Amino acid sequence: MAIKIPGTRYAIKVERRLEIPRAIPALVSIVSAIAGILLGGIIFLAVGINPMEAYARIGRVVTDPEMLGNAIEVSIPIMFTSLALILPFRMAFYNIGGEGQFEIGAVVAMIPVIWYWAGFELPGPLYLPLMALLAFVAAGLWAMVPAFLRARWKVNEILVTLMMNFISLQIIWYLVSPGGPWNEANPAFRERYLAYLKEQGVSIIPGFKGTPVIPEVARMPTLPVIGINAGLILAIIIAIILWFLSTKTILGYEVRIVGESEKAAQYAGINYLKLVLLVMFISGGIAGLGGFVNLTADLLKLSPEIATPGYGYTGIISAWLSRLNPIAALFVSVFFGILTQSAYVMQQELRISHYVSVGFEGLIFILLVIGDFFVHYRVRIIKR
Amino acid sequence: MASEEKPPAVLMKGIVKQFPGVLALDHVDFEVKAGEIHGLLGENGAGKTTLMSILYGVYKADAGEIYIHGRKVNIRSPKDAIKLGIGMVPQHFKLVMAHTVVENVILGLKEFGMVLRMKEAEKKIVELASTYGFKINPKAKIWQLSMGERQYVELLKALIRKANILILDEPTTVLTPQETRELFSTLKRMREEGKSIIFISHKLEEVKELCDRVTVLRKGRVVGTVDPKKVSLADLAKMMVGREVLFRIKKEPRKVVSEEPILKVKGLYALSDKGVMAVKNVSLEVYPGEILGIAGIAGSGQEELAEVITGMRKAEKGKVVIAGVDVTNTSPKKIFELGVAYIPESRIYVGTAPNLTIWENMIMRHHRYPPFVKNKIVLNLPYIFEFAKKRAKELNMMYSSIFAPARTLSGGNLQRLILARELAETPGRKTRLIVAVYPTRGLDVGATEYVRKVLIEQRNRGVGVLLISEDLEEILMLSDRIAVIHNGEIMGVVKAEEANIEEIGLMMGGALRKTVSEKKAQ
Amino acid sequence: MNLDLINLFLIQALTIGTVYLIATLGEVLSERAGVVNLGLEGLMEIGATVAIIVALITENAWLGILAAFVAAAALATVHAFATVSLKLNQFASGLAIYIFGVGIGVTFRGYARDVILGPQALLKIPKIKAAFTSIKIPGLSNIPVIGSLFSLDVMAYFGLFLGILLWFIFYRTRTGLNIRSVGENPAAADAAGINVFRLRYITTIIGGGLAGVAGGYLIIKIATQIAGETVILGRGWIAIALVIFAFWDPLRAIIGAYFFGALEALFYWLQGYFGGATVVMLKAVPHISAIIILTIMSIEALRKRIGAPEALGKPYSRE
Repeated sequence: MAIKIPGTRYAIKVERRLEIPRAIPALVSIVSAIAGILLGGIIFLAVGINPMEAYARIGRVVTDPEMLGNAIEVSIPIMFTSLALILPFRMAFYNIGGEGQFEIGAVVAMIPVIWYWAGFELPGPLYLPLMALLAFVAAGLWAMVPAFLRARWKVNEILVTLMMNFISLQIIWYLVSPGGPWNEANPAFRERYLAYLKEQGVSIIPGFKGTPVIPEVARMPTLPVIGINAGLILAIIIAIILWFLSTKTILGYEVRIVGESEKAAQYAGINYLKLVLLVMFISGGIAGLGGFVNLTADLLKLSPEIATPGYGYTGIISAWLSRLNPIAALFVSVFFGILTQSAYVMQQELRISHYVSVGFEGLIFILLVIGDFFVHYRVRIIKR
Repeated sequence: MASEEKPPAVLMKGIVKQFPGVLALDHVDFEVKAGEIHGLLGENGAGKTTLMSILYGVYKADAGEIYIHGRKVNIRSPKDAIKLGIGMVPQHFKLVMAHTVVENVILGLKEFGMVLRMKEAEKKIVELASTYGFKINPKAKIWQLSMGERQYVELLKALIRKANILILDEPTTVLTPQETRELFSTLKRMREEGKSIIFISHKLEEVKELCDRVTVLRKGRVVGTVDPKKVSLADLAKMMVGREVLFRIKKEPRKVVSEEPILKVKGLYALSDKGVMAVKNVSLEVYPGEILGIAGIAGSGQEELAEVITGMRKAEKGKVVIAGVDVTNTSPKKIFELGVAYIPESRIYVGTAPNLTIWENMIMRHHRYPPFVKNKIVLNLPYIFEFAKKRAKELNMMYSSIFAPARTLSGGNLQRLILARELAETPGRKTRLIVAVYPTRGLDVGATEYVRKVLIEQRNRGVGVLLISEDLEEILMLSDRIAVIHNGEIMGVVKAEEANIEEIGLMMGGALRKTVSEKKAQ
Repeated sequence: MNLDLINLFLIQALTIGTVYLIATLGEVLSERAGVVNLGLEGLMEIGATVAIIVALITENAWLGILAAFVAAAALATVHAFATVSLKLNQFASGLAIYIFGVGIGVTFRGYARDVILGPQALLKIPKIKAAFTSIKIPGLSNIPVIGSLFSLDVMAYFGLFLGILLWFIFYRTRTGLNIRSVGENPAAADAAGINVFRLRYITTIIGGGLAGVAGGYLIIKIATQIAGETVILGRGWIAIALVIFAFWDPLRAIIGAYFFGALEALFYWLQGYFGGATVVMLKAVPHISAIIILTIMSIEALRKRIGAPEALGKPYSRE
């Protein structure tokens, strides 16, 4: 296909690439991210804010060590939600339910804490491993629901996973609303919790939407020297495991075949139901661990606030931008962490909603999708 | 008969068309007289379809002139072609399956108004059909129609647009011999009405029977235009392929004889994707060392039959037994492990994953067995790369690297890859049965010969082969026995030596049923 | 039983039902021509933002609705460009539109509230709402209990009219035949001289614009203030599920939309009776129902082998 450029002797020639050079997808990702930030300047111009003012905030987040540390803290949940999507996306199973799986992970991780306040205490070192295990398994099982529906009856997984995000959030609302079983004002916790609050210098239970806070014994430790929570180590370990699974094992191989063609997968003797259930269990489990880390390292109590940053949705873009490479996903998550952190700074200083980072993410996503054209086609200017 | 003074309906002069890497048409001259049926004969890739695509405005010629009824024209799109009275019945029908006949025929027409006057359109279609001697229910949905009826819908689409030059691209491929005969009488009637017809084919007998004149193309060049009544079939064949054709392949008599069939199908029923019963009460046996050919019009249930046998489709009723093991509704994996090689109908998206690399495609189906895998989880990558390189070399495959995606391979190379992979034997698995579905469809002569040779070799080794093909010549050439399928039912099984084309044709069309007398081969 | 409460329930159900209906019909139009637009939620959010800002500035709800149509249609054009011209993955493009729409929609709304419109704009809200007061059908609207069924507002009538109109276009007109053919078999439509690309652009853009209208209607109808958070709350996704529920038929879409409107209103209604934390779970009823209905529909589609337009989600190229 060639399109003439009017008035010149040149034309734009578009050809399908037979082979995609390895560098091209990465290049398109990087260009999309930069172009997204630059084009995003128009958003600010439109509302009368000098884009330079906005970029200055991003610059500050990157250069100020404390702010950068915060940004990396923010990026840890994104690491989990994007790593979670790598295997399902590779098999063309569009799991958009990272948000809900993240929330379910946090909810179930909370159970030992609720026991604690209700007077049932476990040995201290048990808390974090048990909470992590519960989060992984519960969120994994939650994620198997859309997998089963899709494998058994071809129910569209995008819609089901999305609907489930609303359900998981309602579960949290139910648990923590005033009058709900996990609300901090629940009489079952009253004595112990009041005593704890008194130690902290608070004399009444506020009874807001939220659970009691997590006791020190069940909080995520902070890494020495860099002062970032230990969830980072967990994310890195998961990334390495995912890299190994997807490049070196039968699981990764079968996931690739299914992603190409379900019919070819059937021909290859792959049991789609089994594979998708396994992959979604792992996927949901990783997202659930993210919820656990976010809860124990940052939020320290379960409330609907957990949904405010929309980590599950950012994870979709982060996974896409990293081209489903788990190691790249770690770095891309940091990029989005910086963006999110900058948005909070902008919200305070420029009176613009922190949702602006979601706008940026959407813009980068659109550019990335359109950029895919250049991955599959070669565009050249030729002389006619 | 057309008078001599009338200008030709179509005159194409010095047509050149270059595609990347190939000269598809090299100064082709082509003439169709008004009121004649003109055959366009040639092998796959000879340039027939390209030439007609230029006439119909799909492609633009790099050089050359076109005259319609003596007037020089510039055809830039199918729209221009339709305006000039050119109609096309494509090889792969362009019909909306979920819509009715009338909706398909009037699609794109303005004459029935913005708010469609359906009754008027239906009446017109019925009238038009009866003019040319066929019947059609305008309210029927396309998916309910036979291939022959669908072809009439395509014809109606051209006729309602007042086409007087009709191009039919390989129209008989999907038809039974009886449907073909009906189509021929319709075409002859159209000729009487003064229409000019271009009949694209590679079937010699048909061209000889139907056409007034024939132009033969070979590798993008015109070999000649002849009166088919005045030349022999062998001469036409020689013009088409450029050498004497061997109508029979040399085949040794069966050596391995066994009492026990390797494949036994009993009373099998299966649904198609559309949910209709596509396989009905099929029973058949394949013995070691024989090729059982299944003849039938494409879409008669043979694809579904192959899929049930290989575990890709559910059997509703009945039994499939392979090597003495009941494998009904087990899994493709289990059946593969029993030593069944399966050459599926679709080379891409079923037989291979086109965007994955050559090495990944080479180990498909073998990937979970040693030596390709260590301790059941980790792929033995160094061994796999070595294996893939060796195989590619053995097959004389044209490829850049085993890390290149499979879609960079030609159809022939892809089929070689599939064959080699399916026939690869590992310590735990020997090939015992081959299920080959349309194994030579769309391949060039060299690759076709290769595939046929491999099938014969395997048969001679004692492997049982179930061959499904729409090419009757291929079936006759390779098979030891032939089963004919029509509308999902086996109409009869005959020995190849005793096979009679006319009889097979009748069975394919459902007009004859032979009770299966013989219990087993030989 | 309190008649007022029943009336309140019906009004709620009809309002939300109308939102669903308009958005669903837009998606039906787009999908009938073969383009899935998963960006509905984002388009509705953008529509809501633009509608409320324009309506408050001009003090005219209709200009707000019109602006919502234009803005959402503009964003849908990006989707059309990516999927029809560049032939890219429709799911990915739709998701990108969704995230972009929600992000920009909420950001702008919050910024407009705090910086552009100022607090006095809130005083104008009742005035612009007046455009959607109900039109009472004399006689029928006085029937007890179900009287509110006959006192709909203009947009509700518009939704019903649109459903019937789309049905008529699809099954009775040449344009409709063209649209359906493009969605079923674009190659056949192309061969019949129909401009597949142009038609897909038009249906995607109009369909996206209608999502904007639905979002605009929602915010103006229910607004008591200008929310700095998302107001669509997943209704765009429910609308996409409704398209499947309706089997791509505009008349069935009417039934589905009002049914889901009623499900949602059920929460507000029961809240009046129960209150407390338990009733919060009822908010998830539409989503749970959507999953169940999607599953039933998928089983039906598998069994009867009927379903989506054949070429849905597949880009068309001539090669």
